[in-house]
Amino acid sequence: MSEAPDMLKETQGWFASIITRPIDINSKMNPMSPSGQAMAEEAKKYILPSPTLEPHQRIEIYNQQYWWRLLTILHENLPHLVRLFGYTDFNQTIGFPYLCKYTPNSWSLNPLGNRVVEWLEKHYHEEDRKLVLNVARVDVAYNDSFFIAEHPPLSIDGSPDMSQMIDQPLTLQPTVSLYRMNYHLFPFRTEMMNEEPEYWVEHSFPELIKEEDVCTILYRNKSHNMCWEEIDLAEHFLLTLFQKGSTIAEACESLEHQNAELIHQAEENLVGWFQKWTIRGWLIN
Amino acid sequence: MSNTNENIPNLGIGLGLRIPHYEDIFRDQPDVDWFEIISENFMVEGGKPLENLRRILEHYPVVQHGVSLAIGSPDPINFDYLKKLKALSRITKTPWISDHLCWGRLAGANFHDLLPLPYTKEVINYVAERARIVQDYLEVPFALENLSSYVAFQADEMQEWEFYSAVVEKADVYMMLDVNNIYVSSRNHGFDPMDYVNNIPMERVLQIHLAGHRDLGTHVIDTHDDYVCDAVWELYAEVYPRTGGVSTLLEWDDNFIGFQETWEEAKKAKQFQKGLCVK
Repeated sequence: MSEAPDMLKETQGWFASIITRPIDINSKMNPMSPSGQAMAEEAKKYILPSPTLEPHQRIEIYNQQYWWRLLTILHENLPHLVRLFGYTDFNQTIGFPYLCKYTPNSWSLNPLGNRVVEWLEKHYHEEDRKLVLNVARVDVAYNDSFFIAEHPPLSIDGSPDMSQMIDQPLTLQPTVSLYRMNYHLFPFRTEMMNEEPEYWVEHSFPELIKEEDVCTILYRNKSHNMCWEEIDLAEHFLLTLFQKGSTIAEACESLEHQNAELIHQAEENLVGWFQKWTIRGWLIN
Repeated sequence: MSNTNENIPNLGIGLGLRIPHYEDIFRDQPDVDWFEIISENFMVEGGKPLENLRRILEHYPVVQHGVSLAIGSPDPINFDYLKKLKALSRITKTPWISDHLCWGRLAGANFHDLLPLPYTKEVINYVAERARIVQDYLEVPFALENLSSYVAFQADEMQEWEFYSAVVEKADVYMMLDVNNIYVSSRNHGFDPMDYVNNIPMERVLQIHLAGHRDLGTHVIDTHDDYVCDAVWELYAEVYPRTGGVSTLLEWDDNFIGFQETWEEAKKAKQFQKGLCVK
């Protein structure tokens, strides 16, 4: 296969260096080129004027389109995070610096926001850091789980021997994620998602109700819609073990070392939980 | 023997399949002749997109149109991408696959835009070789679409239609002719759109795109968010008979109107197909 012509490589290298630089808050291109020359002069070397636009005005269209498109996708992939900040603050605080650090490297736009948690851990140190990180984690999980493949769920119908099953390592569908926080984040998220991001710039956020050990499971249902449900601490404990690949026997043994309340919760509900997990197809082997 | 549209089916009038219209389509099964999908939206491992595609395929022919091939990029052809594209084509049974005559990837970075190429002989040779490889790999007719563009390069040696024609003829692939893009580019570069129409090999056109755009006075942007303007319909009336009658599709990607209204807009194409013996 032939190499790209040098002229093509040079033109594309220059073009890319211009369009990927952030536009300003008024969507204007940086007036200076990366080499330090005025864009109005440098653009003439590569681009012809049109009857109505100068060369730098023409490439500015691509500079704007690059950022508008990527920021729009990021807003779609991180909908709750955008609502915490509003579009303008989100773009300036997270969108531009994140996309400069992690230039898209996939042909797909689906993973565009997938490294935002990693970026926030390094670069976001405001008072609401913990909440922002949790919101980002949940947004990313919603997006990831929407597109990934499910495995055949564990079926207990026709299982020859339940005693064999208790020693089989189990795990959870990759579409399932578990959370344990000190507030009810998912109802808070649901309420915020009912309004557009700009609404929350002008209005107070809904109350984020605080409580110790609020456990939630996020999963994709059989219609492929994303759902969440708050669950007991003991159920969260067991599902977390299965997510790591425990057997039923190992999970029961771990449970025995927990406090009495947790053990009691599990004893009361285990049969019902197991039925629910299998009916919903959360468990796989 | 070169590839022409003689053996390519005319599917009639279609619509770009978009999420806001799913509910209407699934509920009413409208008499749309066919749908075009953005391939990349369905090149996923699982979940709702594939479930929706399965439901559409039960009732409609589906054609794949891509946005991420970036055929004019200096990076090697991405065969992982092509493998997924081909796997999807086995599911959709698409009669052809199209993407754009553009670049959009460099040194591993994806710009997610349809960026224009300099129109030179060297670039024709480079892109045509790659287009031929893509068509051979995909094992279905492969078509390149003309862009709406906002820049022209100092390095250009020819007009866009000369470049476009040379690439598809040298590669022996097809044209996915976007009539709105001809109009938008003609306004942005100051050429007569009929010069474009009069100088491309119409027998290689296997599909036509129509769309709306936004006129900003100093330039026109290809937004796909409005009705097709009269000038584009008139251009379509010139193009369609010259192709011998090919599948026509309306793209509407933003500021969505209702499904039925979108379909009515697409069906206007029939008014401009008069006087033609359809294949």
